[in-house]
Amino acid sequence: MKTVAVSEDTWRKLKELKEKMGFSSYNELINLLIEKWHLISLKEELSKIDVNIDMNEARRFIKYLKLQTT
Amino acid sequence: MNSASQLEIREFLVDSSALMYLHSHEVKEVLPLILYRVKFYVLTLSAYEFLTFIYLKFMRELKRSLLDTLSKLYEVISVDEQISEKASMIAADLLQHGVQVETVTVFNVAVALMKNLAILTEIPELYSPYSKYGVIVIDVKEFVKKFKETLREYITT
Repeated sequence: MKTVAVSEDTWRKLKELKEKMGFSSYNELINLLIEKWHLISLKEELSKIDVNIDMNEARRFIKYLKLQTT
Repeated sequence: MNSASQLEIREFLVDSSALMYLHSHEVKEVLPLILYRVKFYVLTLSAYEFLTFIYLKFMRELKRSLLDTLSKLYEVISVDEQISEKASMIAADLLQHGVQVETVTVFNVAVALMKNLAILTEIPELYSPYSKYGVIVIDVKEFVKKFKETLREYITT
């Protein structure tokens, strides 16, 4: 296990959050925070390609492209 | 390949049809979780096919260039000399046997074999002529279905 240093204020916030989430360790809490950060970042990026793809149309398009290049 | 072993694979090469399916409304909700758990590679040529469709259909709705966004979501692979050589060897072999070759498909197969990745596609039959090279091809719809089932099991336990 590794140790990290945090300020008194951060320590208090982490402790409160750990109790609120019902976690038994800070390791679990930090892992959850990391996962949340990744998911939020992914959602932000995905919102930039938020289009309504019709798969029948997409399939037709791919088959058309492939036929053009064979 | 059975579904249990499909789930053990954590790295895939996605082709343009799989990209379209992953970004369709059926999968949209679960896509952040999939991208968090699984590593996806995309060949620049597949990104070109995907983006051509997106720009063609949705140019008015999109305000920015999307290649940068794609490269934040997927590991984008550029075509280099080794990939080109591998792809041309496969293409030459198929042509010798009278099989038609499509450029992006043969490049996807070359990358998958070189990097030991399974190909995710929405049109598995595209890769039928390449099965003799040992490439693993998985239907993206089956993959997403299995992922959702696993997620449900995980949540309920």
